[in-house]
Amino acid sequence: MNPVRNLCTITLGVSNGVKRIVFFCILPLVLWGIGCSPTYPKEKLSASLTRLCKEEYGVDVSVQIVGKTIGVNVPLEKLFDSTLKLSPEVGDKLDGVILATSRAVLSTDDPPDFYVVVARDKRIPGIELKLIRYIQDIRRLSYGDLSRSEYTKRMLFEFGLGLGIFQEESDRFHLEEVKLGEFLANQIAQRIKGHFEEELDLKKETDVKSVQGEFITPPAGSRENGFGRFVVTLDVQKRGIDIWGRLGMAQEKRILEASLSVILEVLQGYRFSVFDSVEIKTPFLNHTFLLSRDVLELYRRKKIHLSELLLPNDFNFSPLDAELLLKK
Amino acid sequence: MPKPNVIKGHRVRLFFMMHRMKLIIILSITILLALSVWGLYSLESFYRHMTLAQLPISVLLSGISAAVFVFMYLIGFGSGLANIGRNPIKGAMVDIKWSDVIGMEEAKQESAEVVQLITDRARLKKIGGKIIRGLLLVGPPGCGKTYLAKAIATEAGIPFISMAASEFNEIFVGVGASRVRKLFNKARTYAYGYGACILFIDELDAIGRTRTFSFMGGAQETNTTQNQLLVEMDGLNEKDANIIVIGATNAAEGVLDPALLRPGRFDRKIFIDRPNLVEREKLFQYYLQKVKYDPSIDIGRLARKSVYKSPADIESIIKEAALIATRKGKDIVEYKDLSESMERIDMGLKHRVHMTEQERRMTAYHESGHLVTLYLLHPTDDVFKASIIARGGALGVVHHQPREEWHTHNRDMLLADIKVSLAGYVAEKLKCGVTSNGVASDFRNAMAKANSMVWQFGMGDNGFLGDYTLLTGFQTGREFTNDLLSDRLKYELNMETNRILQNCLKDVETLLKKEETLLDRFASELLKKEELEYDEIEAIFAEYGKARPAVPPVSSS
Repeated sequence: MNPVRNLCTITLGVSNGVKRIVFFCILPLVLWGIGCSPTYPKEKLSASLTRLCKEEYGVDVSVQIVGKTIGVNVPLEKLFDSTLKLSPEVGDKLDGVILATSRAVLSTDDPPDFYVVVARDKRIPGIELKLIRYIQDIRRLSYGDLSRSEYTKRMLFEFGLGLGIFQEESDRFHLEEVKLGEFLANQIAQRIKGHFEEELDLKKETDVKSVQGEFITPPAGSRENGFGRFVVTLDVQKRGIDIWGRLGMAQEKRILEASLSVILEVLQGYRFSVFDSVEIKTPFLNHTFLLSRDVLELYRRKKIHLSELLLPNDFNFSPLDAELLLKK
Repeated sequence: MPKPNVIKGHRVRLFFMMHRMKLIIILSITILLALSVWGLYSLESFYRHMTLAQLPISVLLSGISAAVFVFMYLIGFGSGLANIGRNPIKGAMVDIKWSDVIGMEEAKQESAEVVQLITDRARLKKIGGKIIRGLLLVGPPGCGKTYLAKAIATEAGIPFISMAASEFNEIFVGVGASRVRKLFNKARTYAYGYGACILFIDELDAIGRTRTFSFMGGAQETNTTQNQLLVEMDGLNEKDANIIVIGATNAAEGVLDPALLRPGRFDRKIFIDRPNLVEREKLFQYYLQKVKYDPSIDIGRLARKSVYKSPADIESIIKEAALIATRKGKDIVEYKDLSESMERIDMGLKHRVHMTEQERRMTAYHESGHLVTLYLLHPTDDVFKASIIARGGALGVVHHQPREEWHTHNRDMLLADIKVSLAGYVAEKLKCGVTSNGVASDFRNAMAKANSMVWQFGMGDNGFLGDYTLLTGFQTGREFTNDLLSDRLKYELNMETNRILQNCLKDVETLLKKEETLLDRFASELLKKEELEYDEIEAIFAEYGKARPAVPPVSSS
């Protein structure tokens, strides 16, 4: 035995090899142990979120889960002031509830796809503030994969009377599951409306009466095949003194171009491809544009021009034409 | 091999002393790890996952950053100034037994005694004897000083720390001293745990030279380093640790500082000289075992041929011979390969120089003159080879070696050396009628020897005795002596030097005229073959019925 080998291994009984093995095994085990348990287990998610809101923000909420959607009902005192504006103090509480909901859905096993937060002023029945978020968006924001402004645009926000999804029955409330197609259709409508308000040229010339989005899936058991179609209804009028409210050709083109860019941005942003077509209804033109998914893709890739899309449906691209063009 | 045993009751404390830094690091890491685990647990699982997901890349980036930092640190600060550059524990490499030490029997015996004293320290203290603190291994390069030190470490079975003295030196003043302190502290720790520790400082002269004092402060760093070494070896220390410092140097004793050599420091000196004939035989046997060789090789002849060769030279000869044999496509090393290897080491590689016929003839006669004179007049040397192939800066060479070691040279040997040196000149003059500048180095040798005979050795015929070089005025350390010799005395001494040279010249002229046939024969053989080996030379002399003079020589003058 080498004397100096002995020297180097004066230990209190454990050899270097064993120590290394123990160290390199224990460390990953500890880290794995830390990482694997969810903070808010699926079974206790509702109770956990209720407790979190109560303990951290002093707000009593009721929580319900339907399919892959979690709903939070937030009844608050003095949510709105006399002009129906959000009161800042109570608004902070609402922010807290939204944050708590985000935290809870992120740190649970088998997380839902959407959360819906509905805030109501106890004094003014029927008026609701509704907020819908896609959980994946929250996650992407945390990873730095989404900008804050894009994240805000992706949130559905509604304020009004009896918004439909929530219908309170004492502590219980009725919640309908949110589907991605429907969420995107609503988001498209909301973003088109926002876009028209942001773009000064459009805002000067046009008056957006309403934009509505729907995702229509074939009814169960029907013979129709496919995933479903987006239907966007644009009700726009010319601003000014023209009593007919008619738009010029150039304006019409700009409106359609802007709407299409928003539609493409949303669908591309979510990599959503399980749809068959997009239908743009334009009461101001008294016309409906039906764009198949492939045609839309061609337009996105700038292989076809907007003017070609504006042709009457009879002259529009057939799905076969579009497929051939895409393959080129 | 003896195993170093930790002294009873010292184990736990020694463990903490030796691993203090490691323990601090482990404790810090454990605390940090615990805090990290606690911190992670306080996070919600999503944020915990995010943190853990980033962990591998964080570790990788930290590793890269650390590597870049260490690289920059090493580039910027060398070995970290006062830090001892490498792990000083070299013991893992030490596995050399007494039986492996060949060619230094006396040094080995002395070393065995030292090992005995190191291991019996307790008994020695009981008797009241003084322990050994330092051991100085002195000797020419390549004689196995470091090897012997390793054997001492192995046999003593105690920790062995090895450093080269040059490793202490740094451009910054004080760094060397700091390194000495650190080294001794480390050695003390081991001595505490194991009862003793060997500290081996190779090439000690790098820090052990006689201290010089300059107002410019030039040698301040070396002085400081050496002062620290002196203090550590025998200074005012609170505890008497059993550290044995072994120093190795090939510098002459006068080179080292007297304070280093006084008792209590390097108080025992072991002189490791070049091996004698028997030891050389053993060395050849030992190193030849490591290669495949022709069993008919006369190892005795090799040993005789390698007078004044160190063990390292002998090892080198065998290695070179193995390379030569391999290059020639042989399976075994033969005597001829060994001979060629020795020539390469002694005389350098051959290289072709284009010479005119006249130049070749003159070179052949020059070398033949050396050869004949050497063979017939030199009392101690054998001629192993004569050649007119250029090697190094010489156009020809006569390779000769003493038959045995001579530690002194008597008057006849010196005269013979002078005659051999002058023989080239005489042969050129006798046979070519003109001499060349090829005699310059021969004359230098002859003049140096004749001068020393008269000025230093009292070998002149004019009755002057003593070393007159001491009176010519020179520097001894910090003192200068005056030139005490008169011009007349110098003249007389120089005339005697010249007389010796002239007498030698006459003797050589007489000899070569007498042996002109032999001279012609060797010159023609050299012109024909370019090289003559030992056996061929012997055969030609035998053909002419000539024999070497007997040893010891009888003075002829």
